[in-house]
Formats: sequence, C-alpha cells, structure tokens
Amino acid sequence: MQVYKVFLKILRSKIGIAIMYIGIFIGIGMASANSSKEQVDFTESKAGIVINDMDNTEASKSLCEYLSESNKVSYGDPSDRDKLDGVYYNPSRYYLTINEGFSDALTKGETEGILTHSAQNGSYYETLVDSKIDLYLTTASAYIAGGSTADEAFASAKKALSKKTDVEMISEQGSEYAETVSPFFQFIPYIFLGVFLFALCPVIIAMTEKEIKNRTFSSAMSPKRFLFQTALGSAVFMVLVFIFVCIFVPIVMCGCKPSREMFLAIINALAFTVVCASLVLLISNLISDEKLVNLVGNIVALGMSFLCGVFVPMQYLGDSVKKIAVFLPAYWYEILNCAIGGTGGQVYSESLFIKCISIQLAFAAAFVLATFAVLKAKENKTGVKAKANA
Amino acid sequence: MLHNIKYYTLSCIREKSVIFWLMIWPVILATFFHVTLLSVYDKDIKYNSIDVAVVLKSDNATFKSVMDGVSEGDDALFNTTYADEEKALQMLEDGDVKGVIVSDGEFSLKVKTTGVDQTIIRSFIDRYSVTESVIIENAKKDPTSVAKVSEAFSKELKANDRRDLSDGNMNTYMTYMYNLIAMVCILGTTVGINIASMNEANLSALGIRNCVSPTGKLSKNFAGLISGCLVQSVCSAIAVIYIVFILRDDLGVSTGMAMLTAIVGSWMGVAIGFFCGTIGKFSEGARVGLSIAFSMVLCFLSGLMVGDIKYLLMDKAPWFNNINPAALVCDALYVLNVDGNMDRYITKMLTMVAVTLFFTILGFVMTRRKKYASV
Repeated sequence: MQVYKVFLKILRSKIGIAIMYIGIFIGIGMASANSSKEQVDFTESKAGIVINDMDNTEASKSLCEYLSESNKVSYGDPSDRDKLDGVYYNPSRYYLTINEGFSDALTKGETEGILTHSAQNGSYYETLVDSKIDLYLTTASAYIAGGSTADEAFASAKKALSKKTDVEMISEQGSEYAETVSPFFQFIPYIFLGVFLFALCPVIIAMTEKEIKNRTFSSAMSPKRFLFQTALGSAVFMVLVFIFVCIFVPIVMCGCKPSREMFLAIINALAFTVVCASLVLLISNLISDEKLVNLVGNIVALGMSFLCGVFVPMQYLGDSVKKIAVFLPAYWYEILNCAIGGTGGQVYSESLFIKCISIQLAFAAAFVLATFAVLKAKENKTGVKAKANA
Repeated sequence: MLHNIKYYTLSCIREKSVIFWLMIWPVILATFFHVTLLSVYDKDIKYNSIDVAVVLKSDNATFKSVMDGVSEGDDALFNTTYADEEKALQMLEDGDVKGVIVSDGEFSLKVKTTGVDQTIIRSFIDRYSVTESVIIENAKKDPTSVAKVSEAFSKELKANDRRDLSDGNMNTYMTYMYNLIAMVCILGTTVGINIASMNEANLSALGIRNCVSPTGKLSKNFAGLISGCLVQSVCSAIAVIYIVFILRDDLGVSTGMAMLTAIVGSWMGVAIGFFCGTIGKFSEGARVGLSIAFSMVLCFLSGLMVGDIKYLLMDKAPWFNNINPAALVCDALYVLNVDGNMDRYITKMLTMVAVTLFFTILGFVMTRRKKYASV
C-alpha cells in the first residue's frame, strides 16, 4: 500500500484547508440554525424604533408604550449621520420624532405633521411601523370624535388595540430537522466543493505528475494497483469528511435526533459527494498546475454557491439566475434540501426526491465521461508526439 | 528611474497570479454579487404587494370591498386571491401566498412562517377589527356619534411626515460592491510585498541581482512603488469600470470619484504591502500567504462576506472602522453615496493618504542601509 501511504502523506499537508472550510461551515451553520430556531411559533417582526419624544406628555408617552409592546424601542436624539448609518445598514431601524405640541394638536384634530420619521424609504419595516402609528392615532382620534377626553381616548385606544388577531402556524413544527440542522445542510455544496477540490485535486495532480508517474510505473507497481490505491485514499478522505459533516455535526454537535428528514438529507448529501468526487476527477485530469486548481476551484465553488441558492436563499434568486442554475448539480441538491426542510416554497414528494437524486447522479456520470474524454485526448496527444519523435 | 519603472511594471503584469486575483477574480465576484445579491434588496427590503388568500366563509361585503380597495393600483398593499379554504391552504403550502385570511364572523390568519409580511397582514386585520369594534362600542354609548367616529376612521391623518436622509442609492447590498472594490485595493499588499522582495537579497534571486547592481536602493524601491501603484490603480479602475459600465450597477457616486477613491485605496494597499515585505525574515511565499489572509480578515471585518459585521462594529467598536484599511475604502464610497456633505469623505481620504505615507516612509526606513554579507 505504498501509493496509498504517499497519498495520505501529501494529503496531510492540505489538511489545513479542509479544517478551514469545515470551520467556516460550522460557524455559518450554527449562526443560521440559531436564527431559524426563532421561527417555531408566530412572533411579530420587530422594528428597532429610536424615539425622540419632544412633547413628553401623557399622550406621547402612551404612543411610546404602545409601540414598545411590539417593537424594540429605545430613546434618544441621534444626529442625522447616525440616523443615516442606522437606516442604511439596518433596514428595520425606524427613527421617530414626536414633535412638540403633539398632544394638543391631536386633541384638536389638527394632526398634520405632528410626527416625523426617517427609515429605509418604502421598506417593509417603514410600512409596518407607519401602519401601527397610524392605527393608534386614528383609533385615539375616533374616540375623541366620539366624545371622549384625550386621556380617556388614549387609554381606550390602547385597550382596543391590545386585542390581536389569532394566528395559526400551519408549518411542520414537529420537524426537528427543519428547526435545527436544515441550515447546515444548505451550506454543504460550498463546503464539500471547497474541501474536496482544494485538498484532493492538488494531491491527485502531484501523484499523477508525469515524472512521478513514470518513476512509479517503472517500479513493480501496476497501473491498476496505483489507480486502486489512489482511489482508496480519495474515498477514505471523502468518507471521513462526509461522516464528520453530515453525521457527527448534526447529531453530536447540534443534538438533532435521527429522523426520516435527516436520513433523506444525508442521502441527498451523499449524492452530492458523488458529484464532487467526479468533479475532482475531472478537474485534476484537466489541470496539471496546482496553482490553477486554486483559481478554478474558487470559481466553481463560489459560482455554484452563489447561483444555486447556497449563500442566497432560493426564493430571492431571480428567474434568469434559476434558468442558468438548472444546469448545475448544486441547484438540484438545494431544491431537494429546501423540500426536505419545507423552506423556499418547496414541497417534498417522493418523485421530487428521485428526480433530484437522479439528476445529481447524471451530472456525476457526465463528469466521469468528460474525464474519460480528457484522458483519451491526452493519450492521443502523447501518441501523436511519440509517433512524431519516432 | 524610468527604465526601472518600465521593467517593474512589465514584471508585475506578467505575473499570472496578479492578473487573476486583481483583475479577473474581482470581475467574477462582482458578477456573482450582481446576479444574486443586489436583487435581494428589491425582494426583501423594498415593499412589494404581499400575496394573500382570502377565505370568505360568511358573506362579508364590507371586508371584501376593503380588500379590493387595498389590492388596487401600483402601490397596492396586497395582491389578493379569493379562494375556498382547501385551495387557499394549498396555495400557502406551495408558497404562492404569505398568509390566508379567514373571515368567519371573526377573523383569523393562517401562516406558514413568521416574518414582516405576515406581521403586516396581521396588522391590517387588526386595523379592520379595531375599526369595527370601536364604531360598535361608540354606537352603544352614543348612537349619534357613529357618523363622527366613522369619519375619524376614514379621514387621512397625514400625521407622520417622512424625512429623507439621503438622495443616494439606499440599496444596502451595494456595500458588497464597495467591499469588493476595497478588496481589490487591499490585495495590493501582494504587489507591495513583491516590490520589497525584488529588492531584498535574502528574499529572492532577483533581489540578489538587484542588490549587486549599481542603482541605489531608494531609487529602485521608489520605481517599484510607482509601478506597483500604477498596476494596482489599473486593476481597481477595471473593477470600477466593470461594475459601472458592464454590470450597470448604480454605485451612487460618480465614476470619476469612485475611481479616485479606488486609486487612493490601491496606493494604500501597495504601501502596506511594501512595509510588510521589509519586516522579518520570512520567505516571499509566506509573506504573500500571510498578507492575503490578513487582507481577507480585514475585508471580512469590513463586510465583504457578511454585510452585518460592518454595522455591528459600527455599533460596538466604531474606532475600528477608522483604522481598518478595507473599511476606509468601503466607507469612503458609502459616504460619497449617501452623505451630501463631503466632510466625512475628505476625512476618510485624508486617513488613507496618511496611512499610505506612513507605511511608505516606514518601508523606506526599514530597507535603509540593509547590507547582505552573504545570502
């Protein structure tokens, strides 16, 4: 097993890259899993409202209290620059100024311009907070119009608005997979492509370099054994990474109990691992320079990740992007992953499962065939050269 | 000097890794950002009519007319579909609608996920329910007040004026493009290191040959820096031109100003690299590796990979953004976009110039009087 040992020895020098990618994976996955856990029950989206109460009356305080019930409210008078930075970088930020004379104007029914706000122009959060403020003021005005005093009107408005519409969540809340490890599996294409392309391709290129190959084959090592031991080295590495990423991290690190969804996700990841293996085979036969692997690997890994919904959720991808993405295997992985987790508007069905897995395997087969074509072309080239030399 | 500048420039642009990482890679990354990230603003942040399904179990003409009213026009609140419960739930399951409003005497809402869309739908139903209950409550107290109360609800208050803070492009995701330009500038450190190692006998074979030549070190380094800045400026200009003219993304700033910022940022990157190349006794490969890793960390902290990092640092450690070279370039472009006042932009640019001068002078000091008895 000399070749196998050498393979692992060279691979050891690339282990840092694999650890880096797996570290990124765990970091991103943990962050995404934590944010998705919050979505189990219906909770209202909260805007970050910064209030500058210049009126400081019971009416204005009452409005502040009402807003703080369903939003994250803080008080202060930030400068325009701070507001600008806040609004630009945080679209849920809403700066509200309650102008002086707010209470009197509201009592008199002269409501125009009693509040001023700054927010991301035309954003969801601006619409939400605007509608809440408008509802509160309209309700208070209605009570005043109905003959209530200002204080009574604010108290009644607050009471009337405390009644909320019942919301029923119809998502599959029982799925522990969707709540905990689904986001982990979303990032697998990027991680696997990164780990396998950057760690395995340089090793295979080094092992199949012309001089080393010639030296190896001039010994007692047969090409079949060489191929077998190289493949075994690659397979061992891939299996170890696969077990760590798809089984150890979800079950041991995230504490997710094995379930049907997880089993399906693991099969999906296994299919993608086969795609990666075939891609490694193709790239390492196509490229003979280790430096080029870095360039091609980055383009393939990031390109697929951006276009196929790894970094940006599927629902935000444009139609034209999706039309291109169907020609990439990671897209079919993500479609199935979304369906298993019940996200991105995808619905799981057995036919979808078979379709997505089959397409991924078809991509793998295509890459293997392309590798054979490359090898054949190389062989012909060598043959032509040898004939010319003769 | 001119002879040296010419050949340093030629050797720089003949380096394949320079061509890829400083010219081709930003173009590829910008394309990915363009096709995937920039459109997220229109879908995720900017308000679009929310798709809802309405199930009218009991006849409620008033609610139907209200729903029709808010579903009309270009700036409609909702995009409403009336359906029976089974079909509506199927639409929800398929992701065709964000929520199902069920009217059965009372109102209820069925949703699949939580989010701002669902909160807006709930807020709208709350509004309708409150209007109804307040009118009934006042009618019980004083039936003559119903007209006034109803009028109060239908009256447009115009109470909450919007104050726009900027005329610039408020697409938050544009910071990814700013960070991309910053990345090109900061990757100039590799060019800077290359210049330093070309003139240090213990770092490269070329350095040995250069050191025994009669040309003064100051002159060689100076020529190297000029050529490095030239190449780096071209690379960053290519990135800006590609974003503005090929991808046609609105950076929110004039192309000239964006180029000026990128060019000054590039010089800063080269100067930092030049200084890094002169310290310690690491090999050139180790220096380049460390500088790329360091540049990427700076870019990460400036928001290249995760946009929220920038705001987090702005909140918790605002001083860091004033010393992070990547953040300086990104912030300069950002303030140029959103801030009508040039004060902040000028401060950022002056900081970049100061950093450039500081590291250039420090680099010259470090290389001064270095002699090699043997390498």
